[in-house]
Amino acid sequence: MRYPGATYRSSATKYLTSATKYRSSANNIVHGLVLVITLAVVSACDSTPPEAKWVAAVSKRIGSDYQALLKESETLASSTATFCEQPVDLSPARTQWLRTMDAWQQVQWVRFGPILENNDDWKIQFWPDKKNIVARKVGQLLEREQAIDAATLDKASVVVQGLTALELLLFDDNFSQRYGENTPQAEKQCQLLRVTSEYLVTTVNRISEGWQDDDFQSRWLATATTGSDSTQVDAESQIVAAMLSQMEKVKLDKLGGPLGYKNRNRQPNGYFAESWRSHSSLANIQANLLALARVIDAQDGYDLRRLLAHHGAAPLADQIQAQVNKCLSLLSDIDKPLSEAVMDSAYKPRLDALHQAVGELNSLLKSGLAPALQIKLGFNSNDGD
Amino acid sequence: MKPVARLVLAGGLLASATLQAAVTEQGVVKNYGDIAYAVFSDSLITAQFLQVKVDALVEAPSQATLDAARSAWKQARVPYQQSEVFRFGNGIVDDWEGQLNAWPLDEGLIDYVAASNYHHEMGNVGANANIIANTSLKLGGTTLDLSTITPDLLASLNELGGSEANVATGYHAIEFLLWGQDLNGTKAGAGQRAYTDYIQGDGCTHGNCDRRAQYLKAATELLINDLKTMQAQWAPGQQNYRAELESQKSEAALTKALFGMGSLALGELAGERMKVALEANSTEDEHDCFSDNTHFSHYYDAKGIENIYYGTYQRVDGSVIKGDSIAMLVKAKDPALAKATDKQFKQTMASMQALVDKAEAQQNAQKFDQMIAEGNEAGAKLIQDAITGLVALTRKIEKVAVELGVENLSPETADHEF
Repeated sequence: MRYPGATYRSSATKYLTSATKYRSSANNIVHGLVLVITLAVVSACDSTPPEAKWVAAVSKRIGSDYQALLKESETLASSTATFCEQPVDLSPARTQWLRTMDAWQQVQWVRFGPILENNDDWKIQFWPDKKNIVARKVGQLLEREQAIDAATLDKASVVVQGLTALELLLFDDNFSQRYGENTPQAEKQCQLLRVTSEYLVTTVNRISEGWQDDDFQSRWLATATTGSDSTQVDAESQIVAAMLSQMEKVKLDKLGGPLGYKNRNRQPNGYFAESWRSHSSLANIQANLLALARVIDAQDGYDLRRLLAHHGAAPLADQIQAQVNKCLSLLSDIDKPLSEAVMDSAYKPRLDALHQAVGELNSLLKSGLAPALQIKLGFNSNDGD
Repeated sequence: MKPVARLVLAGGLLASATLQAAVTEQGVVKNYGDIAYAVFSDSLITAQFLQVKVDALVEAPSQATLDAARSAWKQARVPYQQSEVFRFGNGIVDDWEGQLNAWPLDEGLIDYVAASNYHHEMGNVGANANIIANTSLKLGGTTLDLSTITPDLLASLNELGGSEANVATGYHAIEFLLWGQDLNGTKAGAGQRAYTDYIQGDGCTHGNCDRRAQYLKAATELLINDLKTMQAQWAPGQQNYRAELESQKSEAALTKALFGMGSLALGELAGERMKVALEANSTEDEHDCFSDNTHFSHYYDAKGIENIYYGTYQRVDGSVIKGDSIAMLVKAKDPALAKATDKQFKQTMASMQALVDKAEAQQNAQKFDQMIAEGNEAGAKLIQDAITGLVALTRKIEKVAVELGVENLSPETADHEF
């Protein structure tokens, strides 16, 4: 990593990515023509190019992942509403928050499409938050005289609009112990809890509908077959760039952050773990890895494995899959919340092994997968520091 | 990519506009080095001027000497921010710059802070160390001797206790010592440190004025030493980093140049320094948060990107460096792309200029920290337009890279080490 360690600029909260398919040389065009002719002869009965089939299958998967997230968010909203009617037992709402976070982590890698339009990804989750902006912004909202409603949140910082604020309200002792107090402040806090979970439903619903939108679908899917033109990044490149970008964030931010690998002295800091308040940092990473695995191997559709086979690179799919499995296995060896494990030297070898394995996975995606699919990766937000 | 051979002109006297040699990649790399040398030289010159003003402030604290030091600090930022485009891609710059431009900082490490208005990084053991008020510091099992504040001591205290927010040195530490905390949040006004914080003996405010003066002088001296080091690395005709860069294939240097431009534009400037602050409405993520000079810092970052593309740089003395440029290479290979990129630069720079114009307006001026206030739609739009412009510019830089045959935008050092 880069030293300007003294800065905390590196962050997973910026999701600007891009990639373009590199088909500009005359050679490639000729090659492409030969390929198209060959394919036409071989499979005259199915004219859909493999890229388009893969993109369509991934698109379907993303759509159902958003649906799943929507369902969990709705359940969370009713769960917090139930709790606020009689604020005694927080555990059902906490459990439902964990389920919602897991559903989000499954689809977090999708940093393209409708989610980018309203900064909706930051509305769902704001992280990293090293200076604890969430506690300050939530505190400011609670101090206001006026009642809190959706319009209040609309004007407020993205930090208070989603899962990050809900985690604070549900899992942070400074907040969670207040609910039973029967004070105006406790009531206000419940108001915020309810309104924020409803706001999350609205956000997720907007993305989910945006993704299913016919216009969006047809435009997006069309880019898979036209390749790169001057105005658009094609869908296939977006998918690959987003897969890589997500795994880079796992390594640099989700693991490297709390391990202290972003500072010169390499001092760990448990507060830099994602979702440290709910102890779900490792569950998040597991969900990220599983989401990647499902893009590679989808039993029910045209998956990356088949696409790579088409490009004559079938073994690469096995390599990537094996590396994902290795990461999952190393992760399951860590039987302590990440925020605590990084502060315990006994866990260092295991954490380092996982960190390194994710790095190797990234190399496979960057130097193996992208060239195999003739995709040229552009800048992503992990560039910079 | 075979560059067209450059015409060799006896004595070089004939190299006029009427008889221009064809642009070459080697020429672009040489000019890239010339600009780096000039930018770091200007950073040094303006830092030395800052030192003169800092010395005058410490010698005779008054509103006038404090204002002069603040003004010199702002001038010093002009060339330095234009150097940031050299950071990403050139590992030697990136490894060095933390000591000069690290942010955001937990300023309680350095001096007194208003407890009610100080938000430090979670888990930072040095967040309230207050080096100026303490001649020793207990940290874990060890006690650090802080009795004499020297450049070396300050450099050793960076990232104290492993926290990146412990920034003891550089432009932002000096900025804090000149302005103090900005306690206005997203309202108008910058830091309001009084010059009396530097009065020696009777009249000293907030205590420890001797150590505060010592700190300010030591931090300024370290800044100058560091800038000298980097200037030497880019001096022509020496055995240094620049010589190494010029001895490599020109494609390697072009890759570094393009990577630096794109990384600064997208991840760093548009993402980290603007979008995070805007979307979170967070003044903690404002770049020059004590002085409210953020608009100029952002503008000159973007200007640095433009400098590299067009191969020009206007020095602080007004003279202009000009030579072979990436723009010329693109124009020779793909005039349409060159034209589109020109257009994008104009648009992006205009959106950066708009931030400056609003911040420096005679009436109803708004600084960056006011623009990011919750509910300030007009301010948010100004910043959003700048972000959008930088993102679009990055796309053009990617296309330029493809056109110039740069296959992989990440230089080898971009993802080094776990």
